[in-house]
Amino acid sequence: MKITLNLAVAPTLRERYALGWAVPTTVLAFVVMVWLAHSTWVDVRQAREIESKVAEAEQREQKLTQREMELRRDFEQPDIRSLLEKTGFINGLIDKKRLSFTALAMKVAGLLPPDARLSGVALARSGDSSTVRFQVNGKAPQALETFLANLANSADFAEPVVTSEGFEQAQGGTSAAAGEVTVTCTARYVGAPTDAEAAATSDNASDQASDEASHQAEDKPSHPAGDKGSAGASDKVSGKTSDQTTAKKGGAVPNAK
Amino acid sequence: MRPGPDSWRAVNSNSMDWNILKGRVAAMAAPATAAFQLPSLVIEVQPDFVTAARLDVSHHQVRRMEVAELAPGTLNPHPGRENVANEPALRRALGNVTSAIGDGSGRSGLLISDGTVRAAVLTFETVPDDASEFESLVRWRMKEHLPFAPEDARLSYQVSRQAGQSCEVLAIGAANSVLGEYEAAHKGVTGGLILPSTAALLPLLPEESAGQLLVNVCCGWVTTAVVEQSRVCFWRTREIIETLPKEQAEAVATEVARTAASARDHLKVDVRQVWLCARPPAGLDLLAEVGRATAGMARVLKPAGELTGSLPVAERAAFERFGAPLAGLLANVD
Repeated sequence: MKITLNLAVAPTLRERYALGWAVPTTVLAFVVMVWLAHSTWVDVRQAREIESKVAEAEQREQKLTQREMELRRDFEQPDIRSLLEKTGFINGLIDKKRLSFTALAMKVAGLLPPDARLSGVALARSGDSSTVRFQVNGKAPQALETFLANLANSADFAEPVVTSEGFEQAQGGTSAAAGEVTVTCTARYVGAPTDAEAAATSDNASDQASDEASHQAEDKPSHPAGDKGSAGASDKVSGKTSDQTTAKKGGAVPNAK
Repeated sequence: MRPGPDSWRAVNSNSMDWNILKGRVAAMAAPATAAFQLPSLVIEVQPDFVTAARLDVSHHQVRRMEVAELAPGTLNPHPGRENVANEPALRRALGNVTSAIGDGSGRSGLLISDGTVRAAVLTFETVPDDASEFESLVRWRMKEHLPFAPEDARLSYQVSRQAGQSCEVLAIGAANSVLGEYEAAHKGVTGGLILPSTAALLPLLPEESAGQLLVNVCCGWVTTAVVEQSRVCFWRTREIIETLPKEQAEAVATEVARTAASARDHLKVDVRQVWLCARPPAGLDLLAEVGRATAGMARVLKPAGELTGSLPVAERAAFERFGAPLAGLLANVD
């Protein structure tokens, strides 16, 4: 007879299958190890490529930084710096000369008294200056005189000249413009600067004056004429304004009248 | 207020359920035993001697065999007490025999005394389909045969006969702690094979329809097993407390006669053949007494000579004297 008895403890799963699974586990581990090695090699190669690209980018950045520093150094040179400042000053002037028709109309409307109305505005550019032609209607001559006085006192306009003056005859008393006085005049638009612009303009002017003074002082450090030149430059700027004012006062008002 | 009969019944029922549950949990916690397998190194530990044999399982050959005596009192087989009384001596003897045949690092088998194991033939009216439930049931039935807690038992069983829903099972059990002593004495034993020597002798019995009686006398223990065809229908082990050889022979003869009569009266198995295996080899007194008790049906169970083809001449005598269980193990392997 056959017996199947056994009092020995059954081997555990590990004991039973350890040897059987050792070979496939080793093969699998080897495959995984090869895969990991290949993956690591690919990663290392990519990392090296990225590092080289980063190094190239850093070198390019360094070159650009050096170029920037060279340019900054070039800009720091006195002649280029003064040229830059002059360019900025001219750009500022160009900005100030830029004419806005809406602003022009608002400024003209601000000069009109309640009894007068603006019936026509025309702008003519000639070279660097702008000439404005107004046609104003008023119910009474006093209103037009007030407008002309305001125009003469305005800082935005210079050299006002009355070109024509007329009186509308009443025709049956039905026209709305009957009995009105019409005056046509021209003036040069100078566009009074705002406070900030005026301050900037005066700063630029004073800087320019002081630079000129300093240049003159460097040329002639001990000559008293340098101080005079500086004062003269300052007077020149302020004198320009006073000339304009004088032109307005002296030229426009009599012509207007 | 005392509980009435109904409440007592309920308490007993709950107690029974709890015990069943406990038994099942114990069965789950108990170590599972392995199926039969024959390692190439087999060691037998008996109270008077230890043997070690190296087997060629595939060619059914015994390659080497060594026997060493054990000092009296070194080993006291018992299913519920400590067996190893002198562990150094046992270790020394095991070391001698294993080193003589070439110590292997693989698993090894262990044959132990029948006195260490309890065996029983159990009959079941119905068998559960689930193997774990069946094992729990066998463990539950074995509880009455074990002198220790069933949860401490290593249990192994095999179905001897199955007819419809009912079946007959040969079960053997040993205390885990007791087997642990043997395993500790020889580290290589674990995970191999552990059997009582009588179980190893069973494959030597020829397949016959008539009843056969196997008598294993070894080192103060006698086991009688009645086998009919390929089923074990009776198993009993008792210690021979007699000291004189003639008294021992009479005790064995009485046991054989009692077993044969019991098989005939209770099992309706007529014993026609008695196989006697005595180690150390039986004296004339034992042979005469058993022959007288069995009316001349007794034959000595000897290992087959063809198993020793490659065995050194000096070791053949030892094999013939002590190697019957080894021959049985080899006969059990296809």
